[in-house]
Amino acid sequence: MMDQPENCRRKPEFMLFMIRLVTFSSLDCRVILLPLLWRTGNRCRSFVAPSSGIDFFHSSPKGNIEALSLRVGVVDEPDREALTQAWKSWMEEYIKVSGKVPPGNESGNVTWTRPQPKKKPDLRLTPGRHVQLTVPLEELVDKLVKENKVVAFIKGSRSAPLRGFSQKVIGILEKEGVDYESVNVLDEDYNYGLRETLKQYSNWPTFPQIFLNGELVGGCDILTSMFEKGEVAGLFKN
Amino acid sequence: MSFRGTTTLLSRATRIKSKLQSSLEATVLELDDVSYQHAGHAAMKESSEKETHFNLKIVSDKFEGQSLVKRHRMVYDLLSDELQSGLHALSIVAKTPKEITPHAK
Repeated sequence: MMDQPENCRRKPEFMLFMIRLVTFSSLDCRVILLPLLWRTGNRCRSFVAPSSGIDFFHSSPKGNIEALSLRVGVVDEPDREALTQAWKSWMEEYIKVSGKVPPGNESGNVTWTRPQPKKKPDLRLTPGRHVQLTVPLEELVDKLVKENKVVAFIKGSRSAPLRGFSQKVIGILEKEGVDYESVNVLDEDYNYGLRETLKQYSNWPTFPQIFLNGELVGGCDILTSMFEKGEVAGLFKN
Repeated sequence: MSFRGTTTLLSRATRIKSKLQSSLEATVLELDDVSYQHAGHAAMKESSEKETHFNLKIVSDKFEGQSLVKRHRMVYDLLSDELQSGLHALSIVAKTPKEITPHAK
């Protein structure tokens, strides 16, 4: 790995950046700052990452960005292993000198990483437990499954299904690219009482439950069997 | 005519098998207790119950012409007592005799 001068024009395929930045955005006050710059009233962050992990110019926070310093390393053999090794050694160096992880790398700080495609939110049956329902929950369920082509009642949310069968079902629907709605039956705030109501409504004792055009298709077993036969796309996507 | 006193001495697995066998006249009936696979999750931690999760494979003529949902419902209906007394989940494979023969299409 070679260090190159900052004004180098060459654009290698894989680069490691260590960037110290000043941002003038007022939105970034949650970032932990390096003591030196804090005194001068500027906000600053450091970030080390293999270049494939950064969308530097496109996901930068609002406001001006000025690079205080830029350390560039070129990885000769552009494979993941070498890049990761280089990244690790720079991180270790930084931590040794400063005593902590660069603020931009702290877990939970996603400012510099490529944004995840947004997932649809789960549907909720009610506005909340504090609100008195004027219609029985069963009616709300009936309405929901009839108004939406595909509905999956699962344990957990679609982005974090909690149980194996629910995970499997979400996995299949996602894999087949089905456009579906999801309802978290474990959500006691917005779906209070849903589990019992749904068991009665569907005459089906377990979860997950998948509905198509207002009718119960079945649970994990049935969906899996359909998936193995290649029937899911044809049935759910027309 | 109630045999409740005697049936509770039998294991859930035995009860399930006999109920399904007599009502559905199954030619194949395989029941596996997989409760241990689910022992970790939250709802089960608090309970000291055994025999909560099963895998069932059942072959019966009575499934002929029935959709998968209907077949599973038939099984669930027969086991409603169990489902209300601690049977937590049942993974079902329900086929007809024709569907399991190798050359069947």
